[in-house]
Amino acid sequence: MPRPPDDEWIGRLYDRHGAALYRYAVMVLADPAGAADVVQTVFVSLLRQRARPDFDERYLRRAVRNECFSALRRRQRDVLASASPILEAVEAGRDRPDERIALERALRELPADQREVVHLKVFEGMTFQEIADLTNESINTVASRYRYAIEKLRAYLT
Amino acid sequence: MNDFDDPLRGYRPAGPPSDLRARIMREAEHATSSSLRDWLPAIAAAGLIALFSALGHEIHVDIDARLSAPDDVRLVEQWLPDDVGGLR
Repeated sequence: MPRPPDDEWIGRLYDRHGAALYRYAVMVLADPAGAADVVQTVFVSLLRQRARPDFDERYLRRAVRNECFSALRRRQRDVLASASPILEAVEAGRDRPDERIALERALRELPADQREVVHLKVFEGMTFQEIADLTNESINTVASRYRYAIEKLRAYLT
Repeated sequence: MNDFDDPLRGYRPAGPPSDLRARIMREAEHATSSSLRDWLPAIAAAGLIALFSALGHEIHVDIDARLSAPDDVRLVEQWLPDDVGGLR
């Protein structure tokens, strides 16, 4: 089946995966503007690989992950000065700014790889095995990162 | 669930800015037109090469035609020796 024109194709792909990929990037980078740049870079780079039959969620997530960590390496640090919100209340009206800001501060204190594991485990409900597959790390490493992250967050918040 | 999960449960990572889709579409359009624009000099160069090659060929054929006028040459070969004193 012929592929639809580029704009339509990229638009559909973004509608299907864009928000989830952005949320993933915003947690890894702890920087909304950086996350937007990463997602934009990944989607535009897909145009150069039009010969591929399809881009599944796994491929896109890996592409975003690679781009996020490349961006962090370029910045030489993973705790950014960005003060823009990286969390939002699931239900409108549930947002308590003090609580949210404290959570965001605590998350920003974590290294990017620990934030990533927290995101995948807590917000996306992935198992340690699935996270290990995605990150090419051992399941023990992933579980340790999660444990360290939770301990740090708990210490920070108490 | 552990102690930290509980407060996090009410939150999720912030969603994308409303203009991100439009930004991507604009950038995609730009990237597509850029790639065409990137090829334009190469296409123009190829066209010039083809043009000069055709012109060169035409000139070559013309020169060949002038230089290899066999009848004239044969005529000269016939009268020149006699004309210069009968070298033959």
